[in-house]
Amino acid sequence: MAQISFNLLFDWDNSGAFNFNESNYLELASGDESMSPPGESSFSGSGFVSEMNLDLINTDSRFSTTNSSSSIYNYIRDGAFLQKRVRLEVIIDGVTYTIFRGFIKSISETLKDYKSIGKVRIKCRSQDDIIKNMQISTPAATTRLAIKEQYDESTLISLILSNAGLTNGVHFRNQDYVLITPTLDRGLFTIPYFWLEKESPIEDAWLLAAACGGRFYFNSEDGLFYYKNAYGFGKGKSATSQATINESNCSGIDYADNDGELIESVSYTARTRYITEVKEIWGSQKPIKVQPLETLTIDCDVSNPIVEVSGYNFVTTAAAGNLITSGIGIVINNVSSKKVNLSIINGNDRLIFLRNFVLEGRLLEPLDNTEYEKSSSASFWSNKTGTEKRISDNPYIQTLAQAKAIADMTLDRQSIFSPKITVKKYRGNFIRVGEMVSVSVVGKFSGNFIVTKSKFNLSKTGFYQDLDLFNASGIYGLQTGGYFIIGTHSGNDNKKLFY
Amino acid sequence: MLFSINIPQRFLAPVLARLLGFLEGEKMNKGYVLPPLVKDGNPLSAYGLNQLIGSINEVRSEYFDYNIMKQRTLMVNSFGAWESSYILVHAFKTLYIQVQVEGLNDMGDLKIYAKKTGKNQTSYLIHTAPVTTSPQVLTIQLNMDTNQNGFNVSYGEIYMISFRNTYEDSGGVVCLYMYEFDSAITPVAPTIPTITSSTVIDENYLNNIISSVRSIPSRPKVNVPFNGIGSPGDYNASGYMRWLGRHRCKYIFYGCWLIDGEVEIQFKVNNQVIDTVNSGSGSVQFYNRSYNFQTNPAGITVPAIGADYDFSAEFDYVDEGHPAAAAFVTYAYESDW
Repeated sequence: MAQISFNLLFDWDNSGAFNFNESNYLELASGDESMSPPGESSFSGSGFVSEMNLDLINTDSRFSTTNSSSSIYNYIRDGAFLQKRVRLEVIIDGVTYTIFRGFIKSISETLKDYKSIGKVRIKCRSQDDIIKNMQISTPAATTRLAIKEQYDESTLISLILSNAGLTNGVHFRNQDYVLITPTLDRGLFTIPYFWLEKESPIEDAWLLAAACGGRFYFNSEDGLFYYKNAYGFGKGKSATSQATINESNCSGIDYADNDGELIESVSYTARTRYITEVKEIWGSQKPIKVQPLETLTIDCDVSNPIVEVSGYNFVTTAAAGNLITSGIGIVINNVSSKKVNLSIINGNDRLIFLRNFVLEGRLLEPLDNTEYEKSSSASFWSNKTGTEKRISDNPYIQTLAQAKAIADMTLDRQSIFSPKITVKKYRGNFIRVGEMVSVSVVGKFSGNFIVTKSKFNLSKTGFYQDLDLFNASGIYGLQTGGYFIIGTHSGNDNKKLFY
Repeated sequence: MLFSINIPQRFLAPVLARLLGFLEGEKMNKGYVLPPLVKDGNPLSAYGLNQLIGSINEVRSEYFDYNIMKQRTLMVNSFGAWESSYILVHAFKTLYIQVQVEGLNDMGDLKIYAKKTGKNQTSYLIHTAPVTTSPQVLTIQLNMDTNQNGFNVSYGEIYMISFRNTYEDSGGVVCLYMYEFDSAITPVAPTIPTITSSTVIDENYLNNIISSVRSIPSRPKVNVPFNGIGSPGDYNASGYMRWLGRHRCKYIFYGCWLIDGEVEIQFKVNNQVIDTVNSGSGSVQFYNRSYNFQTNPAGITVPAIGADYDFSAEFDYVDEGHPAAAAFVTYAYESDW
């Protein structure tokens, strides 16, 4: 029987030191971590925000947000508890695991009565939940830079996180880090075009990762954002099994033969774009009226991403219609991906109208989409009809070559029948989603699997996890050892190219 | 060996300079997808290799098929009448020009003009070089990153250079060389070692190749499909001029002068008429024309992208009553805008 202890730490005073250990109040801690939202494929374009629920004993009203006698009252009153940091550590046989690191989302109290001793439930979310709700836009200069540099998906994820206000080296580590292992894998694909216009950085990063066969997630263990590229996705942590699960260390293993993740064919659409010539990118629908000596600031919404604004044209008249040729200034204050903010300065002491006002510049406009389709050639399908996985709306699949690589990969992942393994109440070392584990049931099956979902539970009865697993050997067309690895293999090695 | 092709150093220099990543400036969309850098521990992917191969093929196509900078264009007699335009994409700091001038009489100073392509552009006198003897070789270097007597050009923009002299009825010039380069660096070719079948292919080796390809400057937005632009000499009825082009862009732009009398030129692509320019009666008239290969208003069989084609100007009518009647094609190039 494993020795279990834990620390439930709060950073009530925002010092960053987690000075408040509330372990004694914990009745139950439970949480979810998953590759994808409930009901969606593990290989969908959506990620999942990790969550934890804490049931705390509140007999003395310590966690009551209305109790002015509580020593933490000022930290939790009037919504002050929102986004306070929390960390749960579980020590299993002397090894400390950070189970969850995140922020408080809500506190709900069950008042003490004749049936209850009084409790609060604190709902917590990982940091991506906060970032997910942001709406960010990138400047046109970023669009130009991305076109010029043609970044891979990892660099773009780094760019997205930076634009969301996160710091490289603090919240994530990109490929610029040499001495410390980056948390963002080197990308495998070139994504020529990039922009954000009032979009959630997390949801965009999820889409970007899905477009490249990888996984973007917040690691609630170390509090950093991670990207696993398409190859890293199938290796799990360090490409080695992190635990051996059998009937002796869990309460049950379910082996489900179903077609939940099974597909027979794929259809991936590449949404290609091009840079237009200099042309009119925005025109005012009606004359722009500017009061005498007024500076009028307007937003010009453009339908497609702006590469650059090269100029403007207009004719100015007075109210009576006579031409005004002096005393008018135009200042372009800001050019974001789909919006130009500019000021019109009227230096005249009379009302003016700017007529036929147009902005000129270059845009990123869509070309005709190209589609890649492929059906599985496996004999398994010879007498069966399967479903087609169709991805047509991911803006980060931008070239046919990329669509082909991802579609081929997806088909290899999901066209071969793969059972879903469910492990109930695993009691051992802490296992995270994305890691690889070995599962064996004597006389039934054994093999390596990737964890796609995890639920943990910590209470007076101990600590356990429920796990959903996907067959790791079916992730690619070959076993991971079959591919030519950079820095390892030579031409003499009989290895194959990855997708 | 990626860069063992025999290219004159004066042309290769700016390319190599860019390969080494020393140069600043905008390199906009290259028109092809670059290969991503790789890392030890990751697999060698077919996607990445294909992007590398595709990029090298594009580069080969763009830079090594034709060596347009080797051309010499002889211009004699009046500059005013025989003006030719040299088209460049601003990619490097210094514009290097070497010309041989010959004053048949007293030609005066050599004047260098610059003008951006497109509508309603102004021609600027950017440099004046005194001519002291005849013949004489002049070497001129201009910093195109700075304002040249009112002329400013940004990286990626297309501009044209032309020559004149003080007295338009005398003198001539042979343009020996014209190219942009960066004078601040000494280009060094990337060194990519050969391998054997037992060589472990690591990220340093691959990224050396990939970075070299990624650093090659963007595809020019203009492409000069002609060897020796300009049309010296008189042309009578049924005369013609021909150039060889390689089709890559949306438009072909061309200009002509029709001089002294009624003259008509038909412009043809692969012997299919795309435009007829008739001066009507009059003296010197200037025309700036273009043809959109995509909308293809003349309904010709458009050359395939990457295919060579014949571009010709044929004079199907010259008013015989004006023996001095003549016509000149002053420039021609393909461009996407």
